[in-house]
Order: sequence, then structure tokens, then C-alpha cells
Amino acid sequence: MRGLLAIWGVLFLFLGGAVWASTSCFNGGCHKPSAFRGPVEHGPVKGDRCEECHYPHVSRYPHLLKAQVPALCFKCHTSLQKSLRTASWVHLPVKKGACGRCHRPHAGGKGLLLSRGAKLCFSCHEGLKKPGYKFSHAPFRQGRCLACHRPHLGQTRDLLRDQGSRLCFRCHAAEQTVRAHGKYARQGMDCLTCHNPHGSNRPHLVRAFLHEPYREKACKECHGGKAPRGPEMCFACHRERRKDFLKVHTHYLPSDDRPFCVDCHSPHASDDRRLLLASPDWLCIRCHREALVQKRQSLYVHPAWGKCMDCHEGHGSSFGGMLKGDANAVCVRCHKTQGKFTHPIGEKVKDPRNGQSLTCVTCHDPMGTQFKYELRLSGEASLCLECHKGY
Amino acid sequence: MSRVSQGILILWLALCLSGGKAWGWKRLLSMEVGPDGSHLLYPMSATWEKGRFYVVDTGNHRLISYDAQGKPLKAVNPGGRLVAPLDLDFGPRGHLWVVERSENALLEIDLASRSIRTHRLRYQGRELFPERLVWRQGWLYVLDRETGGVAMARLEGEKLVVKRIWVPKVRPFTGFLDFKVRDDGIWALEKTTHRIFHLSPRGKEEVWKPAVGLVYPVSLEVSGGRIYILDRYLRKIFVFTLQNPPQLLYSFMEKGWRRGQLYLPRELELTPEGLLVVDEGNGRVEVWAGGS
Repeated sequence: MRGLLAIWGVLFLFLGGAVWASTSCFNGGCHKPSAFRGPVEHGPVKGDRCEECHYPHVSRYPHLLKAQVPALCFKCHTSLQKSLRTASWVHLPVKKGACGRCHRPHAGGKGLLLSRGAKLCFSCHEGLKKPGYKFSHAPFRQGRCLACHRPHLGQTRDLLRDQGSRLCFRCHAAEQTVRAHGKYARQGMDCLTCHNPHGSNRPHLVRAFLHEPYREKACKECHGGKAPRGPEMCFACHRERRKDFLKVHTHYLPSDDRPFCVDCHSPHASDDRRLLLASPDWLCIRCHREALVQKRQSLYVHPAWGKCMDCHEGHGSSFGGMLKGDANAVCVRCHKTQGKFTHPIGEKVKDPRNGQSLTCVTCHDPMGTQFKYELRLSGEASLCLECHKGY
Repeated sequence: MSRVSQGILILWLALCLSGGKAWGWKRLLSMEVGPDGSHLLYPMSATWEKGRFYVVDTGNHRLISYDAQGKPLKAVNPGGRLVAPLDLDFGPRGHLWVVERSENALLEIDLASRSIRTHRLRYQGRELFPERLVWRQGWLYVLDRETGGVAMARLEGEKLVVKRIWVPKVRPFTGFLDFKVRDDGIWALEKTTHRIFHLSPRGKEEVWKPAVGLVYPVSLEVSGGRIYILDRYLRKIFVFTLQNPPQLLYSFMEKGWRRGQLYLPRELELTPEGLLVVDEGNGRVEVWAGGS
């Protein structure tokens, strides 16, 4: 009997406490219950457990939160936190812990998202809003970004739900789709090499620029038994390109029967006139993760960051960093004034620290730094004092 | 002794004890100019042979020899053939072997008779794309960018014949960036994935992955129960235990342009004199020793 009474007592304290907590939040006339209700309610809100996230009186965090976001969110959403530790790619707002960038804390639509469909995604991915494609992919047209992309993390940079053609075969019957591509098609091909998953002005969402043999339907130029294997397949027509790879710094990559050229170029169709598989800021970053690391660790980044091919060669270069010329020549193509009037630079001006010729990149690092004008050190004094010791 | 002095002494002792391993490394010498006083430009590789250092001064199209104290002795460009030399080593008969990128070939240079023989590597009908080379016990090991693996070749008469290429079985494989040949087999560093591959003399293949935040590792060394990895982005040399998975012991070096600092480092090579560090960006090759 005593035990039963004790259980009742404990239950009364807990339930009574919870009712008290929620009723006191809403009863004072400060927090209107209607503002916390919606088609989907966050678990603690639904259970009137305001105290799971908020202190009633004081807190060191805004909104009287018990901890900072995302630490507060990860107290319950532990599996997400666990997956983030091992993910190859994480969506930037998630990485920054900005849960509130996409989610409401109390109530809202599905997933407690701030807005419905693609509207939320387009609030950052503005570039995707504008294209008036003649043909568009149904999920894109309907604003169902999450049909193909994951919102938090993924194995690919574009956070696709599956890799390669496997994603497409979720909707498009695999066998039928492969068969429709004729005898050269293979099950393992990546549909995105030739098709734009959002839209295109060509039927079947084929990308805008076509490789000549593909356009002329001269498939045997590359696929025929007599066609050379490896990179020689491409060099057979693009003879001049072979020379590019005979320079000190090159992008010569391992090949099997396929030429390594297709690691960066589509052999059929692309949205880039150079038939690149993606825009350089995506394509190059697949291997050059260090450029992304540097960008994210920097306060100041050159505005042309991401337009890698503006300054760097794609195939080969005799200059460090695979630049299009020496570090002065590359910069003065745009920075014409600095080319004429600047701190002395050039072959005859030597850096006293290492005896190398002084160039723009001696003082600037366009890939990103902590200082204005992408200076390598503070322009207030420390950069100049590196060489001008007497000042 | 005042309390402040005591505090400083304790702090100094603590630093010495905690960082003893990392700070045990000392820069012995820097090689940064040729015999004519001109600075190195984009040096890509260096090695040690019979009491001398040899540096590939790629940007100046020359090879430079230095004595053990780092004094430049001689600079050569045999027959004017060096346009984009990448690596060098001494092979049988004391000939100098150089990877010459502009010809996609290996140049065998007999300095005594001033003759040069050109070797192009082919294997199973494919032309290889050499990047680095090492001669060891009559075998030439070549880092081949065509397959991403390590080609093993022997001289048959005057002809260089590729006998096999080690390309790891695991897929995907992105190609090696660097390799070293040791008594216990070949150690190689894979591009992008930061994996370390080991091929034992019996042909057993292992894949190791250091559990540390490397960003852009470009070269490795293996010696004395340690793996050394040079990170071009972080401008540091990371020292790991020689076990799977490798455990980080410490790192040393820092970003900078002065002696003892790294800007765009490219290669590590262990020599009897110490650890050679080739820094393409600073146009400098340094020798470090004394670390554990």
C-alpha cells in the first residue's frame, strides 16, 4: 500500500510539474498557445515541455535557451550528430550548426521547415531559381529537391541520395533506360554526365554543348574496336592537348581503357562549352579539397574564387600552382593599374626571405586569408615588416 | 630565485618535456643557390649519393650537386636536354637517371663520357608517364601516372624493360603521389584519399589510413618504426607510428618563407645525413636531423 502511494506521489509531482510548466508559460498572457501550434509540432512543444529547451528565468543564451544551438538540438537528435561525424560532405548550414536556417523550433509544416518545397532551398541556392528551361525534370519543376538530395549530409558534394545512375533508377526502370541508350550503354554509367537533372533546352534533358562525334552520331570514333585506348583516344583528335601534359605541373591522371580525360570532361554532352563535367568550383574541388578548406577558414577570398580556370590551367603548366603564367602576368590581366604602379615586383626584385622573385602572390593569397585584400599577413604592419625590418 | 623566475623555469621544463620529441628536429643546412649564386627555382626533388646532395632545380633546367655541408659544387644541364626535369637517382654503372617530363622519358646520363641515352617506358602496349624514380638492387622503380601505380623495370643489355606494375587491387583507386622502396617492401601514398599502401616482398598488399586531419599530403617516408607524411597545405611533417592504423605522435615545421619554414613543400627523402625536405615554393632544399 505504501509503495503504491509512493508511485502515485512521484507521478503527481512529475505530471503536475509539467502541467504547471506549460500552463505558466501560456497563462500569463505572454506566450500565446496558438503561436506554438501547427500541422507538425516539435516533440517537446507537443508535450508542453517548454523546459526541455528553455529556462524559465535566466539563461546565458538567447531566448532563455538551455544551451547553444546546435548543442541543444543534438541532445535529442543524437543519431544525426553521430552521422555527421563520419559524413563525407555536410550541408553548410548543418556544418555551421545553423539549424534555424531551415527549421522552426516550435511548429510548422513537414520537418518543421521554414517554408515549403524549393522556396527554402532557393533562398540560398539562388542560381537555380532563374533558368527558364524548355524541358525540366519533374521533381525540379515541382520543387521537390529532397527527392534527389539529402538535406543534412551525403557521400557526394551535391548530397545526392544515391550515387551515379542508382539514384535515377529509383524512378526510371534500370533495364529499360539502359536499353534505350543502344549497344554502348552500360549499367554503371552516370546519367548526370550527359543529362542535366534540373532541366535543359534539349529534349531528354541532354546538356547544352555536344561533343562533335556524339553530335554527328560517329560513335565508332571512340567506341569502335580500332579506336586507341586510354588518353591516346582523345589525343588522336586533340593533338595539341598532348603537349599540355608534357609540362612540369600536369593533371595527367591514371587511365584504364577509358581515357583519364573523362574524369573532368564529358565525352558526350555538357553545360560547359569545354565539355566539363561540372562548373570548376565543383569539379576541381572533388580532388582539391584543400582549396575549399582554405576558403572556409578565410575571412577574405578573391571574388573570382570558384572560377578556377580564370587563373589556372586545366591540363598542364610550367608555373607553380598550374597558373596560366607567372604570378604577376596572371594578376595584371585584370588588375591593370597594379601592373603599372605598385610595390616593386618582377624577376629582378628578390624576396629577402627566400631569394625568389617578388610577385603579387608574395603578399597576396587569392585563395583566401584572414586579411583584407587577401593579404597574407596584416597590412597594418606585420606584412611589411617581414622584409622591411628597419621600419 | 623569485617566484616569477621559478614559474618561467617550470614552464620551460614542461615545454621541453612535452614537446621534446617534436622539437628534437634541427635544421642542419639549407641549399638554396647554385654555384653561380642564382637561387633555385621550383626545385622538385633531391637525393644523396656518395657524400653529396643532388638537387633537381626544375625551374632553372639544371641539376646541382652540393657537398655534405650544403656548399654548391656544380650545376649541369647535360646536352641542354633538361627542360622539365622532375627527379633523379644514380643507377647501375654510376649513371645518372633523370625523369624528363618534356620528352616523357627517362634520361640515362653518363657524366664521364658525356653521353645521354633516352628510355621511354612501355608496358603491355601502353606508354607510361613517369614522375619519380628510384634505383634499388638492380631494379628501377618508377611512379607512373598513366596507371597511377609503381612500375618495376630492369636493364636488359642497354634496353630498359618494364617487368610489372603494382597497381593496388582495391577500387576505387586514384593513383599514387609518392612512394618509397624499403627492405620490407614498397610504401606508397595515394592521392586524395590519404591512404598509405604497402606491398610486401611476398606480394601481400595492405591499406593503412592515418586517423588525423591531413589536408593535402604529397610525400611520405618510412624509417625507424615511423611514417613521415608531408602535408603541402598544412606545411607540416606529421610523424606516425608504423602500425595499422598509424597513430599520430607529433608534427613539426610551420608555414613561412624563411629558412626552417615551408611554403609549397613537395618531397621528403631520408638520407644518411638526415631528412631532406624539398620546398618548391621557397626554392629551397633543407636537411633536418635529430628527431625521434
